[in-house]
Amino acid sequence: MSIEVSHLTKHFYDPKRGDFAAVDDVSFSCKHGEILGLLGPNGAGKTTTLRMIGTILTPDSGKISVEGFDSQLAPEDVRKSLGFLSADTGLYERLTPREILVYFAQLSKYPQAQISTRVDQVIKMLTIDSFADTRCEKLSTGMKQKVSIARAVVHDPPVIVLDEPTSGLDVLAIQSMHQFIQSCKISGKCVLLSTHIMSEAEKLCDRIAIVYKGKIFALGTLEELREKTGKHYLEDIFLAIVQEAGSEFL
Amino acid sequence: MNFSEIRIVFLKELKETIRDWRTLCVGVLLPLILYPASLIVVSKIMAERRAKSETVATKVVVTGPGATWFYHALAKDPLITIVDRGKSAPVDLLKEGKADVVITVPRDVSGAYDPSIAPPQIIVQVDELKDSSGSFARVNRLLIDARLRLSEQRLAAAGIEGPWCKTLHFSSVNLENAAQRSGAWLSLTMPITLVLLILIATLFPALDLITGERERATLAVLLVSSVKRESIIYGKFLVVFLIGFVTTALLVISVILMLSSSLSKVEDGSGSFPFSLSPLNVLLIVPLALPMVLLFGAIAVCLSAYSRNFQQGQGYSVPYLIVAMLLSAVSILPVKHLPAAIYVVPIANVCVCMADILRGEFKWAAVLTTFVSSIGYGIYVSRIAIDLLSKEEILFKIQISPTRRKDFDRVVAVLYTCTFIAMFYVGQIAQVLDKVYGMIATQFLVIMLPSVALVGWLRLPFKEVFSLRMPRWTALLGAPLMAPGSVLLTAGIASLQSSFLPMSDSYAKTMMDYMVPKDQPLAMILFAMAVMPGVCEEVLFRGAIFGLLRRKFTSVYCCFLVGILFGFFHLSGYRLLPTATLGIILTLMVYRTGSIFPSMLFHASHNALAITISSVPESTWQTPQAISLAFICSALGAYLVFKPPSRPL
Repeated sequence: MSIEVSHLTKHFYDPKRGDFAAVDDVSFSCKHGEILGLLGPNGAGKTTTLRMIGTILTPDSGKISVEGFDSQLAPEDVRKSLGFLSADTGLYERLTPREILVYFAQLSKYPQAQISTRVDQVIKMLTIDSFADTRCEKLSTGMKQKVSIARAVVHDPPVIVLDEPTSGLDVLAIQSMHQFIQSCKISGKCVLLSTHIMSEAEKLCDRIAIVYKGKIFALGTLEELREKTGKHYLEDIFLAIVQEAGSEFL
Repeated sequence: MNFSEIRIVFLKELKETIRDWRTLCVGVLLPLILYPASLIVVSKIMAERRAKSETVATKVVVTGPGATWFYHALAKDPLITIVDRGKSAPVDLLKEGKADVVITVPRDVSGAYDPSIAPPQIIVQVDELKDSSGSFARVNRLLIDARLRLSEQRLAAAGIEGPWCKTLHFSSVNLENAAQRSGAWLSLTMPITLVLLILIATLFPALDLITGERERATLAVLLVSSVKRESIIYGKFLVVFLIGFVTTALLVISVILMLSSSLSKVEDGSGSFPFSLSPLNVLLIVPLALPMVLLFGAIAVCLSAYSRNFQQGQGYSVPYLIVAMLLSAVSILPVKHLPAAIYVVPIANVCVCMADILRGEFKWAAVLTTFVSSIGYGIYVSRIAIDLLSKEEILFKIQISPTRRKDFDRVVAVLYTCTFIAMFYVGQIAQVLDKVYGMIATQFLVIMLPSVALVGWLRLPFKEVFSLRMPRWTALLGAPLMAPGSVLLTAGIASLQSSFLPMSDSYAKTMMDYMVPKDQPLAMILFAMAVMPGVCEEVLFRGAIFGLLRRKFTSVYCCFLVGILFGFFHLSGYRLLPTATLGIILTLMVYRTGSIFPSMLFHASHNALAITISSVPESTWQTPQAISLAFICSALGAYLVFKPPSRPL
């Protein structure tokens, strides 16, 4: 397996709610050439889970393994294997796309001699040649999104982590992002996608994990989830599972 | 430390920072142009004002029956024009600008002294608001001279003559050379300006590189790259440091260059002098500013780490700026000799030292102390900054439950230091007012209350932090039984210590008077000196300090650490070893029993026994029988307290 998460837990504190589990005993795995979707409403714990996989946050308990590297023991190796992207991640406005790509390739320990060739290759692949040397502050949203994708894949990682990647984008940009995600799958990468958009999960994901209040309440292919709930549309499936989970919390 | 990673981050951050116009303005334009230009402008204005006072005539009205003598005395100066009063009142003449100074002489004063008549009162009126060319100063100088000559004249008129009646003439020679005068002139503004510029020059890049990273939503992406987190922090910190240093160097170089080339003479209000400065003094300023840049850079990184956005960061900078300015203003205090301790006060030390260097009055010991102490502060705050940027709750503004937090070591350091200082000052004052009640008040208000309040403020569970659990009954029984042994042990350590650090008789007497006040009943003394410390000091040391530290460190390490802190807390080198030993035993007791109550009982019993036997001659209790009994009693007590529990605690 490319990503293996077992019994992952993370607590936060809120003066009103007190100590609460943002991620509560979450386990799943994802293999190469597969897109696994974490589907849940805002505040379900998806971003926290992805941040723990990215080793930005430390789990209270549980284990994460990425490409065989333990996130606690070898965090740098884990990060080297990851390409991380979300819709709200920004760019360095005073740098050009080419400078950003070179910077992240260097940070990811991509072989120094090959960085220039790799950057040119990514620039060509994502058709950002025309603005590769323009400062990011002058780019449009669509251009910026392409640069963000390029930044995430410049070091050719085997695992791609996408946190709500289409949130706030227009239809054309969403289409372009979906194409990118599918191309990652075709090239054999392991893709972990968090989203709250049902149609997106339905369209892209091989398997879907329904996340609610920090827990995974169901995990399987769309067919398996249909069988489990007796509903056809993902929206109905999601609501059925969440309502069942809600009654559990009550 | 991975230097290759740091270099990559540093170069990228530097490139980005240089492309920011704010950095260029603050870091380059201000030191290169604004400050040197302002110095030149001020000097020019002062020079012009001086020139004006030397060329523009002063209009003087001399009025009254005795005006003639003064009229002649003043008219000798070609720059004084005597104006006719006409029918106007003196005040109107001044208001209308017809006169700069009005002198009213009520009667003739040039004649001999007449002892039957009171000396006349000569009134000199001037409107200082309108006196831009120094008219009053010029007239005043002439009047002083005139007064002396008038005295001579009146003495002569009275028939008193001789060399002793002649006025003494003084001439002053200023030994200050041009370099010292130039340095003194620069020392009034340069340290403060440097502090202000370094502060701004480090704050803006720090906010841009750290808070800006959060604001632009690039932080998560950066942290998920395979570079080490400390490399990111060091890379950013180096940029902040470099910009601060460049600003300093630019300021010093530009001031020297501009003043040397543009101004042949500098004006300081009392006169002009050729600008000149020793190259050594100039060169010393730059390395001396290095630790200050380090300190300001680290503070800027700390503030940036806490700020959610640029605006909030600028808000935080206001109190920081005020404190820094107040500390730097020490360098312009009109005090000839500041206490030597000033050279270890952060910011103030560098400013005072710079002013000394500019005036050419520095001592190498002071420069070295300033440099070393400032480097120390810089490194310490840098460590805090790096720690802050490694914390996920700071990076992502998430809250970790207080019950899950472990890093309370800095909180403990602050609590201990504040309590220590408060006990030293407040405690001493309270005990001077009343020994027993002062002690009770100190124990409760200074020692116990802040620690309880702190734990409450941190929203930590009292029961867990203060070990408020009922222990086994055997531990409660055994704790006071250990007191005779501990009194003997501490007495033995004190006696051993006296062989290399003998206690003076006067100190021993002071201690005895302190512990056993003669004018109080024993019950009151025992309450103040045994029961209160037994409760309050235990709440602070075995409660708050031990309870917070053991979340991070191993319990055995904490026992020794808390014991040593307890020893230092007793403010006496003579008592350090005995009280530290007692502190270690007390902390081990809490660790072993899981409860604070046995240690409270033991502490109170120990103090009570020590006070009681202190009034009895040593020969009556330092007998083999008494020592054996104490040993048996304490061994039994220690067994009851420290014996392994029959069930897990």
